[in-house]
Amino acid sequence: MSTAHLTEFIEKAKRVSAHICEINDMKAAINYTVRLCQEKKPTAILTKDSPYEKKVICAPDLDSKTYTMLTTACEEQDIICIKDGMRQHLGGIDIGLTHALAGIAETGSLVVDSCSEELRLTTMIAEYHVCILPRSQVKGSFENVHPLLKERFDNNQDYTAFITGPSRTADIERVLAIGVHGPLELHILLLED
Amino acid sequence: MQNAKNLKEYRKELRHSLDNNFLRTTLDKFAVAYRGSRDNAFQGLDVNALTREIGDLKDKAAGNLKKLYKEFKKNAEAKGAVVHFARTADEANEIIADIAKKTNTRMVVKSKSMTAEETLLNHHLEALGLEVVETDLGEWIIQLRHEGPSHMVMPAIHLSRHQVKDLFDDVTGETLTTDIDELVKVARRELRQKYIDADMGISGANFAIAESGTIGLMTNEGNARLVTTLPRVHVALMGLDKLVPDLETALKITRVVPKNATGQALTSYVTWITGSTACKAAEDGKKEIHFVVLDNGRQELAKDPLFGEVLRCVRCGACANVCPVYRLVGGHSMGHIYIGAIGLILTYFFHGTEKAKNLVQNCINCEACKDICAANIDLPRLIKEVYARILEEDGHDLPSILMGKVLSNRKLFHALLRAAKWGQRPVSTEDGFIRHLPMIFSKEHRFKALPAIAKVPFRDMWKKVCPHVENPKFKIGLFSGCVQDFVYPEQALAATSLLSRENVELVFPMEQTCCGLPVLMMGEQKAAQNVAMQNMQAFQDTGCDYIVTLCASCASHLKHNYPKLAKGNSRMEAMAKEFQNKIIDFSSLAYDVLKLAPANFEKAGTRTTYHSPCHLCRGLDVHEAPRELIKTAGLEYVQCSEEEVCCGFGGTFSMKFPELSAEILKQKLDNVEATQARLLLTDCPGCIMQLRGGLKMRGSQIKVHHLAEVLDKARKD
Repeated sequence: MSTAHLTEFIEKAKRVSAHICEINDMKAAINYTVRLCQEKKPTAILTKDSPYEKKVICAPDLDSKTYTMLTTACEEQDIICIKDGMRQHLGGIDIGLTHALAGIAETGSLVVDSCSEELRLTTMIAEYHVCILPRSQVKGSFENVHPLLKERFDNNQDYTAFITGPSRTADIERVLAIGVHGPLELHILLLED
Repeated sequence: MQNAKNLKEYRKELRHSLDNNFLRTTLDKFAVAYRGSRDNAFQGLDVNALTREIGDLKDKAAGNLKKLYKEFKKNAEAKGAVVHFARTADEANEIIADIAKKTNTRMVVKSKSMTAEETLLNHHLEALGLEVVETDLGEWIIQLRHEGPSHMVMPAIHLSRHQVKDLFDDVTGETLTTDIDELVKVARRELRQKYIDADMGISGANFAIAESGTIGLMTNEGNARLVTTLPRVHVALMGLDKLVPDLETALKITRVVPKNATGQALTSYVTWITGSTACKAAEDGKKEIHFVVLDNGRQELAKDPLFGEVLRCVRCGACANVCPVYRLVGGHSMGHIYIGAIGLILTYFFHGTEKAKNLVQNCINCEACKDICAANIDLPRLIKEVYARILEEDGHDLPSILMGKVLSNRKLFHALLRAAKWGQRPVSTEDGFIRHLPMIFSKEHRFKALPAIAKVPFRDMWKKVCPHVENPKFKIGLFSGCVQDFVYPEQALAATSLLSRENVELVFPMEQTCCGLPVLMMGEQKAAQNVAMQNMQAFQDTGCDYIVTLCASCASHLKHNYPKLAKGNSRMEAMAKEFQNKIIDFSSLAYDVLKLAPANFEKAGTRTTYHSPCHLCRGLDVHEAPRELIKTAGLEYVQCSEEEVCCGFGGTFSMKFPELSAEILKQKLDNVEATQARLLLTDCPGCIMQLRGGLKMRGSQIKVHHLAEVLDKARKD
């Protein structure tokens, strides 16, 4: 990671309407996520399920210590915190909190390990996707993430995503609209490491 | 979709599209906006190097399809996918229907796949009683309307928000507003349950990587991620041409496609799927995944020395984005299933002569598609080659046979032109136009005044005007082309006078004839070869340093098409190579070679704008020279918007599709008039004929001239 890459990454990600916040530790990530959840409008449930009484955050890939921290913070704010069971929440949840493997400066993209179905659904079903990206993992170009991808594809069954901004379409009169089948907002937390 | 039985019916459809005001406005706006966003997206990158590289990489893959397929199958199957080979469209549909049956599928959600459009998969599955729902917003809209796509990446670009609102009112039973965000949210809501209910998800693939058995999908809406995640079965249908050897190639394609398609740096999602991953909806917790790889003539294409490069296409749709004809009539008239320039070609190979025969004639040969192509495909040439093949199959029509025969015989051709001069005499006006159009022209041709044939052709004046130059800097051959020889000899005279004063010795071989582009446009390959040979022989022993032509279309044809026409004949190939190197357009000669000095020209300061001929800016990649020469000639240059967009002439195109030619010209002249210039300059007598004729009909005072004329006039001594 070079400062130039970081600057380019931030600029390109903002250009596609991603929100960027630089944070120092996981505690800050949790605070950011919980606050965002408090402030957002309740989820518009897309299935026939009745609306939830409480807001929901799903964090499928946190280590157990951080997950406990998140659960505690959520309890304080009366938010439900889960790490799986996304097929029971397909009508929508408020926030999905995940990690990215890497960032790509040339396009402002996140590389997200999506092998886990829970994680994949979290990043699609949540109205807001909050994604933690360690600063050290911001690479310059597609070529720079080639080794990482090749290692994954050659030896394993795999499902990896490049995510660049929130879900979007211009299918009606070429007018840009954000939030079609995926998240309405993408927040990238650049983590000092 | 193409259902017209003949050209007459097809033209009727075109007129219908021309009357669609919404479509026209949308596509006009898009054509302009697209260029800007694309330039932005590629900023700092060498676009030509990138597209050349993709062309090369895809060529290599196309030469290796069998091996790549084997490798892909082995690697994908080792990771739990099942790979099927489908020889035909029907076979692909049957394979997928069979998977549906075996997996007890009742409902299917789809993300966008052009290959599924090619095989008409939905119809096949629906006929078997399956429910099939498209999830890409645009695809869903056209599915609900029972239409085909009108653009490869923006399938519903032909529809207005009002039409979508009405459609969604029916779907939801509510009364919606025309707010686009609200309409998009209807899709978000209505389709979520469909993903949940579906047993099978069908996707396409942007590439299939042999070394790892991975497929890649680019989407903006995120529907492909849900389609490949929620249902227990995933089927990806892709053409054999989607195979690439390695991840490196796939990443290169990923870098270019979204930028070229819509001017986005990257789509919101790029999904890389390698084998079968976890799926909680499946009994064994594993996704059942099938890759169906479709041949449908692709292996045959790969072997074809000429058409092989069709398989380079990465389906970005850019060839439609810049096509002046697409811009007028939209994708339903400018394609069958595949749209735009590539659609004209693919329709012939995938859907047959009947669907392609009218469509393929609708190319104005402006080369905008070739210039923009993500994979460096010579689209205009392949379109002409498809037309030539169709003529071989169906028989040539009388006008093109006659034209081929006449042009192959210079003396006959020139005799006819001279005879035409006498015929038109009673109807010619003082200012060089024909007063009434001859009877062979129908009323659709009345959008421009046609020029009269000159009293004396340039070739008959040559002896008199041929200058004697002591100690010339260069010896240069003059290729006049038919229009300057017989219609606008004053342009060739001006060049002769100017060049001799710049100390150039000129030669004009009398055996030269039409360059042959018109017959090539009409699919008459043999006649095109005949005249090419005559012209090369005419200049062979002249000892010229350069051969200059004042017609951009002639120049580009002589330079780039002669070597192609010569292929297979080694003597002709050698001649064409030498000939090609000597060809230069007038502006490049004057600016780059002779370096005309502004000090030698009077300064009139007239407000002047420019029209860049297609075959100069794209055909020969000349941009700066003519604009600089305008200043050299002492004139004030004002830029015209869309200066490098076609004027609508296109040679025989304007005869075949006068209503389209007229509309393209209208746009051009609106832009010209907006500059408030008094003088319009260009580098091609064909364009001059079109522009002058159009301005005359409008009663405009703007004068149209060839650059050579104003330079000659402004030259001090």
